[in-house]
Amino acid sequence: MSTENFNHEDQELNKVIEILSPRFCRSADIAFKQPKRNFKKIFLAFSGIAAMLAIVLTISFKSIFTVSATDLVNSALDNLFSAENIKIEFEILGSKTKHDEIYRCHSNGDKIMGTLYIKNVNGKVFNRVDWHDNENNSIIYTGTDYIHLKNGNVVGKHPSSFDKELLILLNLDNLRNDMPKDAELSKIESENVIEVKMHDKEKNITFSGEFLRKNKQLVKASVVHQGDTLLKTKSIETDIEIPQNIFIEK
Amino acid sequence: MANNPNILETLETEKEKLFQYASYRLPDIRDVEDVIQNLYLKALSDSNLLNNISNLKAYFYRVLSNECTDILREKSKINSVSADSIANFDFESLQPENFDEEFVLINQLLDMLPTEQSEIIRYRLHSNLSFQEIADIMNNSASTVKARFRYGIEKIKTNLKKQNLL
Repeated sequence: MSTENFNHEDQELNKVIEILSPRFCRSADIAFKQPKRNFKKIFLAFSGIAAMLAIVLTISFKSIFTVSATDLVNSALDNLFSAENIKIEFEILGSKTKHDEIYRCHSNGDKIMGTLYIKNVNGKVFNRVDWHDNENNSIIYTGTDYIHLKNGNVVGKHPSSFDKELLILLNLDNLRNDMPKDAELSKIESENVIEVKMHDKEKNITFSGEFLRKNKQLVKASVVHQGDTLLKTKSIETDIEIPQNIFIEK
Repeated sequence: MANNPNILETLETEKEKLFQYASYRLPDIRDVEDVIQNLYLKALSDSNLLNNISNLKAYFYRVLSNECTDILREKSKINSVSADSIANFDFESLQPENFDEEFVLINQLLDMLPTEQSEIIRYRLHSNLSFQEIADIMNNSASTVKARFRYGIEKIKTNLKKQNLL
């Protein structure tokens, strides 16, 4: 092979290398975030929306709890999720992300408050989460779109069928499959309240729900991981009016 | 807390290269940021284990590579490139005008190769690692790595030539 051929071949190889070499690199804006407390704790990241909906995990007791409280729990959950309007004030341990839900739960995060609104209008489910942060972040799922608001102004929007996911969750189908097979179940019954707990030993995570006997309502729910309360409800209201215009971008 | 300061030092030193590696493997920038952050948290939580690892840098690249593969598998985004998609290439395809086009082009070309070859090319061209550093990551000799790099480039060259693109 002549020198010329070698050169030509090298040129072709260099051309391939050039094609495979990045020219439009993404900018690396990496600042490793130091967990504030126990570094050895498992980083537990699940979607913030999913975390909020972990509240809903309590309804899975409906299918697996086989004690005398079952009827009450069933009724309470049916009451909750057949409601047209649901407002849940909650607190999570988490930090800000670029993901749709704005904040994600994890053990080493900060306390963040939020309010979840769910409105069922003729079978169409609207969702809104107002994060109680400095930027007044809010997210809305209209059934067809995801909308991100800051101080009431739209800063992000894309198609999303989240309401379908929510409905699937409410209908238990997915939740039941997600339940740990060897979770320990327990209940504490008092005159007025039944508290049910599901503890996953492997992940050291406990889901709790507290139900009032009197009005058959779910009144509290929480998710605790290694002693840290990742998520807890402050209030759960169903008999309230939620204006539909809060689910519409302005 | 990480007992070995080398862990954090190594991560800090390598973070740009680790980022670029992941950046050209995962289409979603949020996944890229997540895998990098998770690598950091993993390093902290496994610090005792990591104290016994002689080549931390190689270890981090291996972990990152596996994480990227897991995410792609999970999202079913591992699409082997058929001959058809290469056949659809034209000169314009080889001249991407933005990151997204470049990402697709690079991944379509690399998907033609066996993983060990495409990984070497990624480490070399995207993370700017030396052949010896790549050899350490892949538990191979530098000469093997170098040969595989060349095989990979030649295979892509041959395919592009078949389409009269070179």
